[in-house]
Amino acid sequence: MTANIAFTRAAVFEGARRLWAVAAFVALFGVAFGVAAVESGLAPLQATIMSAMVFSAMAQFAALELLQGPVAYLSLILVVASLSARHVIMSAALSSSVNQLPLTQRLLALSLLSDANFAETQTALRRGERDLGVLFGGGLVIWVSWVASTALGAYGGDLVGDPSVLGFGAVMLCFFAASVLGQLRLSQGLVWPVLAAVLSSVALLPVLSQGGNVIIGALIGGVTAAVRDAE
Amino acid sequence: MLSSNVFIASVCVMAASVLMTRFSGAMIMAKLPPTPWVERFLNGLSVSVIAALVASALAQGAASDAAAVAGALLVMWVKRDVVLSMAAGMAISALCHLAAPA
Repeated sequence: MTANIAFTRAAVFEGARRLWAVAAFVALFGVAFGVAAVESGLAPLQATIMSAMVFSAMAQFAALELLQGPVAYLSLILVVASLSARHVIMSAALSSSVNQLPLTQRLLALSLLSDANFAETQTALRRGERDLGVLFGGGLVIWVSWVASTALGAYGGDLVGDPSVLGFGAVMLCFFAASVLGQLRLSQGLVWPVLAAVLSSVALLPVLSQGGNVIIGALIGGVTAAVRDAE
Repeated sequence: MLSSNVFIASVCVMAASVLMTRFSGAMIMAKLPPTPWVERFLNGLSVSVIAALVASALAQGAASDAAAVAGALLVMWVKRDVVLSMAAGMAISALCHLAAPA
């Protein structure tokens, strides 16, 4: 991953085009969040503003608990930061390409970093693409869907109902699994790091809080890649 | 309902925390020397974080989630199409829910 990283408008559109299906699924979670937020006492406008500004499903669902009664800001920071700590890993993983951009483009490219556009961008970089517009464009289409569907759930929850009862949570996992498989096809040397990450994250589940095991698992996968190829 | 001042402060705190996680990884790496070891580490890290996310969710999820992901992987392997693969996962998920509603 060297030289000539670009950030073009054409790639922003391309990123949005590639992730429209993912964005459509994200809307199911957005509606669910809108419904849950209003049930927990937020006004519909507040729920929508939160989705627009925070753009992180796990952090937002968790925050609903913390926003009951007097708000403990330190707890809020800790919970939100730990639930999105995997973004630190993703941001670091993109560093060798993203850090070649000028500062404003760098911040713009990372501003809407989420699991799905990270996975898509990583696959694109492995294919030899060099334009991080896809990262921002993918994030943008998901952000639009997330905000609009939150509003739909918050303002019209009584009409649309809570879609999480349909059990579509697995669909995002399917996208991520397919993306890992796509990356393994492009670089087969990654099989061992992936195995190490999978096994260690599952093995650590009983001892680490949710999310902590993912981060340690990812680090173990990274070290496996670094050590193996050095041999 | 939260007062609007408390709400605005809370959302700003949340937004800043999440943005910091998005920016900090790349900022930290900018300070480190780009050795071949670090490059291989990041290369492995990038695919491992998503793999660990899926594995961790499946280990805690229902059997229907695992069935959906297995189906999606099979379709991805044969058709090499992410959207088709997601559609397969969604169909399996829906069938499992029809067969055994939670």
